[in-house]
This record gives sequence, structure tokens and C-alpha cells, in this order.
Amino acid sequence: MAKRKPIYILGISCFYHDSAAALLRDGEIIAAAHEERFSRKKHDPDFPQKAIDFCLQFEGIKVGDLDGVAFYEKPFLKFERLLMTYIDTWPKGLFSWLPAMRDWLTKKLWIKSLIYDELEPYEGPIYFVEHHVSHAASAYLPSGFDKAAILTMDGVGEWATALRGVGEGNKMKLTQQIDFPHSLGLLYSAFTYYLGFKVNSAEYKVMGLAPYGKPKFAKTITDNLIDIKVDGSFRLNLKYLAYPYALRMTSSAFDQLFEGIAPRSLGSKPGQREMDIAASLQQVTDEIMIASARDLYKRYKTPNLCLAGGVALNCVSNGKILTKTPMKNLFIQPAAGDAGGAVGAALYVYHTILGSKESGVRSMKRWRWTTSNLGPEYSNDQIKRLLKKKRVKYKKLARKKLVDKTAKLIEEQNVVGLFQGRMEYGPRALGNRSILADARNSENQKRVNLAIKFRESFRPFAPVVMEDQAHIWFDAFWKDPYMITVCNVKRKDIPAVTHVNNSARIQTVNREQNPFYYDVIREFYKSTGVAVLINTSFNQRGEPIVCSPDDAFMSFLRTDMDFLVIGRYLLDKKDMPARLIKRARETEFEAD
Amino acid sequence: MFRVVKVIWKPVEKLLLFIGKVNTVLLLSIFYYLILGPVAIGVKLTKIFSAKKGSQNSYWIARDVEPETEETLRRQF
Repeated sequence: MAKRKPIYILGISCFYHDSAAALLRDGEIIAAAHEERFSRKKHDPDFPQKAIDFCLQFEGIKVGDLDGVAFYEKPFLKFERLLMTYIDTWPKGLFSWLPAMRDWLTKKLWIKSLIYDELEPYEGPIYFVEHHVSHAASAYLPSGFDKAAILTMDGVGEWATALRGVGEGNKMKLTQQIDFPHSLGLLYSAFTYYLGFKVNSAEYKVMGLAPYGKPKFAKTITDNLIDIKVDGSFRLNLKYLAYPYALRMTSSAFDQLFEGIAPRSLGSKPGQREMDIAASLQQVTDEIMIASARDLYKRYKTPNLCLAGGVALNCVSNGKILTKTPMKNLFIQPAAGDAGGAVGAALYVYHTILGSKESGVRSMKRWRWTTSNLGPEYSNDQIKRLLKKKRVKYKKLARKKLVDKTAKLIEEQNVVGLFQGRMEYGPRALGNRSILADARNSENQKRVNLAIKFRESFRPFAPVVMEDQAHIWFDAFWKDPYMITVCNVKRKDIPAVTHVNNSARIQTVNREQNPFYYDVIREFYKSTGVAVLINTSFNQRGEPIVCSPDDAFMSFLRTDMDFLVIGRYLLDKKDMPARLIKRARETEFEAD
Repeated sequence: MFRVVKVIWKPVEKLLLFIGKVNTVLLLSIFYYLILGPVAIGVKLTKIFSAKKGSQNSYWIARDVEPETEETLRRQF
């Protein structure tokens, strides 16, 4: 009997920020990647041609083998929202109208033909899934829950800025939404702008800044800026916000609300006032997310919650949902932001149309998301060829020896770059493109921040902990393989990963999820009694996480990292030629 | 011959691009004030005369949940 050809669906998200592609085979995500990792342009919004090429090459198929292409938005609905907003805010919006229309009239209105052009000779169907439905599908369909409440929140999609409902089997009932301009994501971005950070990029820095402050302005925010209902819904006071019509996020009334002080210039160092504002915003965000989760529990009587959208990357609120609401099982996929829309759109099309057409039933088995390692992988031969070409000294070690050596190097207070297996999908490095260091040494926080990542000194580092030991070190009853929740630290001996308010954004790992990574931590634990390491992404400030061995090697040379463990090879910085280091350090990245 | 055309074409191309940019700004500005403007004024007047909503218990808006079909998914709206 002839073997049935699998159903292939390509998911695409692009033209806003963090463009990405994902390939689905019979309902299972087999490859997914952000375009920025290949283009080396942080938050690259362009058409994800390189990510698509990778997905197709990974499976060994051509565009002609695709059964469908799923785009993560409905462009005409988004354009309608844009026009209606300019009508609503007329005549204040001319300066943002001009670039927006130029972009839409020349590119974004022609997405369908653009996709056909880029994917030539593909002639099959292109499906357009609503932005928040894509988010919801990316969270619920691969969650593994038979029934779960669903909540998505981000800046904005077409009209919706938040969406909620319930999932049962492979069906989702998304019954309510909040529309633009009322958006928690955009409110967070407005404060990000006001505090001197980059919008759509550095929101996580505001979250990291919050524990240094006191929520002195929380009442100012809830009294003036936002009206929050008990069910977590909200409405913004648009007098204070300029994003619907201007190229800036906040209005002069916003400045008056915060002691008459104008927005800080990009990149300026935050002081105590900025920390207090960040803390206040975080408190308000927590309040909304907790109220939303409680109300969903009341409505759907399930302790399972699936979250997606940029706001779902707010690890502090996520941790509070688990500790302060009846929601006890949280699923957030590792690429919960817009990049994850590529997966969501593809899954939605499969479960709504293509898969059911094939099987004739709506109760198809759902693929369960169990790994973030969906990107490209490089063989030891490829790595060896690179090292030979660069003419650098290296050691090849057997697996066991390499694990022991890596753990030993970390114990000896070296900072080690780890490059193994398939690249992670999503904004977090979870052990395959990571930088590791000893969490017991408080100096490591400063060293890795300033000499390796070249980033702000206030930024905390996240710990990775052996899953079976997590309860000893952290006050968390849940597992978190994708580093999306914050919890309290129980012990005093890991200061490098303990934030000022005694919290940490944890990653739990077991041997099945990542054997090499787990074994390194276990060796370290055997020798030191500490089952925790610093895990931060393998990149420097402004640089996308490394993708290829060449990216990793150059990043290793550019920074003060001591050792690089790349495939089965070990590189010592002391052995690297000065001319290569000098050349590598000539490359600079725009600060994010 | 081709070399001469190439040399001339470069500044001409730059000039045309500049004229294109100016045109875009002019046309979009005219559209913004003369076409969008009257519509916006009409919408604003309608809003003034329409009844204001009283206090609400929730800001969630009910969503039409139509069964999704191949046709609806192929639409860009």
C-alpha cells in the first residue's frame, strides 16, 4: 500500500516585529525559527525567508509539497482598524499617518501576492487567521489539556488586544475580547517608552527593574490611567496616551501625571523614581492578570489556563497567577509573543480545515508541545570544519569527559558558552544556546552583565535547576521548562540568581528534556551540592541569540567568556589568537 | 554608450526617488485633510448626538463565534 503523503502547513508571522516561520507535519511542529537568528538583525520584522528555507530544508521538502500556508493575521481587518483610528483621532495624526500609509500601501496590503512571490512556485491556498486566534491556538492546541481556559493579551492584533474563552478537545470557543486602543500590552509599552527603553523590545527590562522600586504610583495609575473591573477587563484613559495618533507613546498629560517630568531619553540610566514607576506598573499588571485568571476559573471551572501574547511573557504575573488564583496548571508555549503566531496559525488551520478534511473527524489527536528545540542543528563535522578554517586550538572530548569538564570549569568560576543540538524557538535560551556560570558567586551577576553581555547592571540572571531538586531551592510547586514564571528563592547560597526581592525566573530541566545540559548541572551538583546554575542567552546586548557555530565562535571572541563548549569541542579563550579577538571586537550591535 | 547612460541614470534616479517621496507626502496629506477630514467630522458629530453608555460591569465585548470554514479562513478580513 502506498504511503500517505503527510499534510504540511507552513505558518508565517511577520511585518510587525519578531518574524518567524514554523512547519507542521500532520499536526506536529517539526521545525520553527525566528528570522532574526539567521539575518542577525534583532527583532527582524521582514518576511522570514531564511527561517522558511530552514524549515523546508529540515524536512527535505520543497514549497510545492506544502498543503497550505497560514498567515498569523487578517491584514484587511488591521487596515480597517488603522483607518478608523485615524478618523477617530483626526486631525492629530498626520505625522504617523504618512509613514503608516506608505508602509501599508506599498507592502502590507499586498501580503497575499507577496507570499506567493516569495514562495514561488507555490500555488496552494493561503489562510489568514486572526492575530489573537493564532495566539490562542498556539497556547491551547499544543497544551496537552483536555479542557482549559484561554487568555491572550498583547499590544494589538487587528482590533483585539485581548481575547478569552475555553478550549475542549481540539475546539476553542473564544467568546470575548477587548478592542484597541484599550490594551494592556500597549500600556506596558507606553511606560517602557516613558522610562527610556525601546518599545517592542525592552518591556522585559521594565519587569526586571520593578523589584528595585516601591509601587508608589500604583494608585496614580489606577485612579487616572486605567479602570479595572473585577473580571480583569479594563479601559484606558486616552487623554494620557498618544500611540493611537502619534509617533510617541505618551501625551504631555501623562508627563503631568508623573510629576511633570518628560519621557527619559533612550538608554538613560534609571533612578529610584523610574524603579518606583516600574514597580507600580508591575503591580497594576499583576492585578489585571490575577483578576482575569480568577474570573476565568469562575466561568469555566477548570484549574487549567493557557496564556499567550506578549503579556504572557510577563513571568512575574505568571508566577502570581499560580500562587494567588485557583489556576494550578499553566501552559505558556516558549514563543508566546508574536513569533509564536506562526505556530498558532498553522495549528489552527490544521485542526479547523486541513487535518479534519483528511481524517474526516474533528477529534483528531493533538500534538503536545514538549520541547523548545525546534531550530537548526549543526554536526560535529561542520563545527570541526569551522575551527580548522579559523585555525584555532581546540580539544575534542568524549561526551562524559566533556560533561565533567564543563561542570568543573563552572565550579572553578569560569563563564562557559554552551552550544549544543537544535536552537531554541522563542526568546529564551534553554540550554542549547546558553551561557552558564556559578550561581553561588554574587560577583558573577556583575561580571556576566558587564563584561560578557555588555548590558545594564540592574538586570537579573535566571537560574536553571534540576527538576527533581527545584522544590528545595525554589518556592514553586510547578515545573517550568520554558522559563516563564517567577517564584521566591528558598535558599541564601545562590545570590547570583536571586533578585533584590528574593525572586527568580526559573527554568526546571529533567534528563529527558535535555540530557547534556541536565548532566552538566548534575555533575556540578554532585561536586558542590548546588543543583542550580546561572543560565543566560548566548548573545551580547543588541545581538540575536547565536544560531550557527560561526555566530557562537564570534560571540565567544567578542566577549570575556572563558570557555566555549561547542558540540564535542572545547575552546579556551586563552588559546585564541589575539588578531581574531581584535577583529571580532570590531563588530558592534545597536543597543536594545 | 551604456556607460554614459549609467552615469546619467544615477543622479536622475535619485531625483526621481526624491520627487516620488515628495509626491507621496503631498498626496497622502491631501487625502488626510480633504477626504478623511469630512468623514472624521461626520463621525465626531454622530458621536456627540449618540446616547452615552451608562456604567458597565465589564469591558469584555462579546465576539461573534461563527464556525470557521475554508472560505472564511482564506479571507483577509
